[in-house]
Amino acid sequence: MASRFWSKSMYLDGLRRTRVAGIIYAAAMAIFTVLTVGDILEQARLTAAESDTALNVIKVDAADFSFLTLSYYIAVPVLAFMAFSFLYKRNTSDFYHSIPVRREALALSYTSAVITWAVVGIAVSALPSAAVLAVSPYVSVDWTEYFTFLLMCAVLSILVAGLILVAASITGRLFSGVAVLFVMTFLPFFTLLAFVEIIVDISFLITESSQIIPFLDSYQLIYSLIKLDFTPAQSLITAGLGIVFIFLGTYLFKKRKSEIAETPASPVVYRIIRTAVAFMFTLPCCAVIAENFDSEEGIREFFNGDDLIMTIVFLFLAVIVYYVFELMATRNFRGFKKATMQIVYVFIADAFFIGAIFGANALIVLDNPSPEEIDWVSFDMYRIATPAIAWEHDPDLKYDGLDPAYEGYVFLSSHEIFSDNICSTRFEDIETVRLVSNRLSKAIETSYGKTKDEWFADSEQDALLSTRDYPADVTIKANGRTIKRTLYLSQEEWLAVSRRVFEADVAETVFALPDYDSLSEIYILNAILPNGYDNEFHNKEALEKIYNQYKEEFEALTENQKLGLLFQTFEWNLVKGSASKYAKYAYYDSDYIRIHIVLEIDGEEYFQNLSLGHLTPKALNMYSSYRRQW
Amino acid sequence: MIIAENLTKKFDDTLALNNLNCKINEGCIYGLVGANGAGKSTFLRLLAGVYKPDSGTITVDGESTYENTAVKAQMVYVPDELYFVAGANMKQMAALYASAYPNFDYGRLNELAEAFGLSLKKPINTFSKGMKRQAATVLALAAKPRILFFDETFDGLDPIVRNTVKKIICADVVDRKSTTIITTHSLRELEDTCDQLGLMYNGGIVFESDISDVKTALSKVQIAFSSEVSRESIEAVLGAESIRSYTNKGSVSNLIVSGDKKEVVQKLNSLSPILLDILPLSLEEFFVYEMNSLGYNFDDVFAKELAENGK
Repeated sequence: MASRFWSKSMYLDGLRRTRVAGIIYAAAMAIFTVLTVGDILEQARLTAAESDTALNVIKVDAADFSFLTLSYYIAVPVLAFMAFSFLYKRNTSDFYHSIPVRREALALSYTSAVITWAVVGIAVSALPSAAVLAVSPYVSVDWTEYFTFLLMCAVLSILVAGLILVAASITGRLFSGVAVLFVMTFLPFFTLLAFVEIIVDISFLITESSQIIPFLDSYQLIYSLIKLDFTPAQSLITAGLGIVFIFLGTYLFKKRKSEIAETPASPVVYRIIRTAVAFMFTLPCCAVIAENFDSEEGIREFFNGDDLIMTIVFLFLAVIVYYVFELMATRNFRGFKKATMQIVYVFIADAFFIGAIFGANALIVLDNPSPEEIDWVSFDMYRIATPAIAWEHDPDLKYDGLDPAYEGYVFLSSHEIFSDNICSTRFEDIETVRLVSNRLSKAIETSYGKTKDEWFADSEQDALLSTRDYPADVTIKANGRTIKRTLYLSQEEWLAVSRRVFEADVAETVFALPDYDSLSEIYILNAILPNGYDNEFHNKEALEKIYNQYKEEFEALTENQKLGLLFQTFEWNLVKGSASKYAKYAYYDSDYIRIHIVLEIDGEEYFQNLSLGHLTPKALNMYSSYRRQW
Repeated sequence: MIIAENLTKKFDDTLALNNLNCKINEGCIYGLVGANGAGKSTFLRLLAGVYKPDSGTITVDGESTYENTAVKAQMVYVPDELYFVAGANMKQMAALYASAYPNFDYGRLNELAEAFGLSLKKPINTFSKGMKRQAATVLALAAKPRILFFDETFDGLDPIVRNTVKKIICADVVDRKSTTIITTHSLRELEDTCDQLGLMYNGGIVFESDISDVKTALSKVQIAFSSEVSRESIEAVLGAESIRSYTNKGSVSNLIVSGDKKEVVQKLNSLSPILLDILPLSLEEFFVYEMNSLGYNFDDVFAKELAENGK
């Protein structure tokens, strides 16, 4: 069966070509599986023997099968380079280009052979593991996580196979093929990382890389390759990326000239590869230059300080890498003269990179929407290490006999449901919008002609900017675009924003408990019981009733009481005039029993611990009653 | 019919083929001769669809060969540097060929393998260099293509096997009307095999001729007279332009003469020689004289080969 895009005979030939590596890999997977599953069963046996309750189980997750990552770390690269090794010898390349098989079919048939081996290795491990663990007592497998992990291994194998198809298609030697794989995997990440980190360093409006490129990490191939906790959505994205690379590789394979076999690559492609490799090693120099060359003072310091020596050292290293690469790729010294002339391309790339940084930084400063242009603003409150939300004095509360607190604060946490609710709140009121717009304009105005350090030094003397304890990461939606900036608010401004959270229109959304059906996980943790004594309550039927009761009682509480249930500890700022005292305080003493809920939003899990105590007496009684029955 | 028109191929700064023009008729054995680096292998690779021309065209029955699987299915290319899948035996290689070439004939494979005494089950990497070349030839012939390309295919074969290969190729051409192109740097290899000859030099075909024309176009004559006869006297009879070479030692003269042999003999007999012999002209001699007449120095064209042969 031969079509334009796939040939059964070439697929079988691909399997044959790679069978030695494929069989070794599958056998290795089988051995690792036997050892891992054996270890899990042994632990389960010991647990069963030592515990007096059948509820203690060995939890199995993806990390137990981390050896499966070898499929895309080692097996696929070896298999793929083996399958396409015919491209690296003149006679084999000529042979395969002379037979009546379309190049697309050749590329895709061999790639599918490589992916087949990868999947065989994963299946050799997954099928017996799943069968054994599914029927084993005292073993609890998170099947969703387990199968997502298997899916991740499979899609990353596709991705790596696609990358190698691209690398093999444009090179004529294994060394340059591996170099291209290296460049494709690391260059975008390092370049982008350096780009945003340098901007973070030099910009007075940016403090986090995510303000320039959201989810920077998840766009990177290297990150995909090292991350073990893929969600199904990320797996699909990675599979899509893998397919894109396979199609790109197939296209390049079709365009490939057989005569580049036994040469590093075509002259133009080789120049690009060599420049890219050396460019990666010049990134530290670019960083040093970009961070110093934004002011006259910086330039003076650069030439008088250690930065110049550091730049020279890194530059020297990059030049060595450049020539070593040339030598290893061409295997002779003949091209050294030409290479020396062409090293200028590396410096041109550096100049573009540094220029792009300054350009991007200038664009950030120019982006200054007026209040009328702003649709809404939101505040990323939990990312900064300051009290994130404050509320007014609660006359009912006292601490150690001191005066009632003036302001209270809770610390928000990443991936907490209510923290996320607060941080994703969009403020559309003109006061908040104007506050943000004014702060942004003021920052831009006061920073003109100054470096970040100079600006900070000046700002400290500026009464308006003296309270840098309140940096706020602000998201601004203006003119259909979303921009993210770090602004520095005064205490008063900060409290004004915080108070808005408690105003009815906002509070209604912020303090709403999710419906039972939307929860991906729920149980009650009873900290009164010691560990190992059935301290988790998992009865689904009972939990639904308890949670619904809790929700009903929760909704009837005041915002302050709700906060107390949501955030078990918080700080009071015992402020009177200029005197202040911080105290860590447990709002209510009911956090011994907590309802733990998990909500999945866009593939990300968010949790919340809800105190079950005297503020929710009906739910507490219901729990006690079920607990006794159970 | 295979037609190459203004075919040009460059590798970086090296011009491998320079506006090459050539026509190869169906059902003939075309010998392409030239020194190493003349462009023979490049021409075959272009013909086999391995390379894409930089300019010009190369067609088989009007169809371009590059990335044309329909045309490629009718051609088998046996390169100078052979390739077999690592560890494969002839049976496995046959499976690969059979999957790619629609006319692959296992009966023919068995027949030819037996004729050459090649084992189908033994790994090819255990074969000697000559046996590998035989294996490649057998696989190519078993694919029953319309067109066969053999690049330096007689290298490494002993004289007996070489003759067997030549015979099989000739039989194939006769039986199936296939077209065969053989490249070599040795003219002697082609002398008794080819129908048509092309001489490559510096990326172009500088001379092309039918072998029948080669054998009739020039005559090597040894002639002796009882008294001294000058070159002018012979030229007066044969015409100065038809004498390509003239050497004289005493009363015996050796000539390379163009034109019909009978006519030449008739004209020379009019000078009443005491000895008149028409000697066989080797292909090499033919080329030497033809090349000289075209303004090329044969020694330049084959400089490397001549040096290697210690000439």
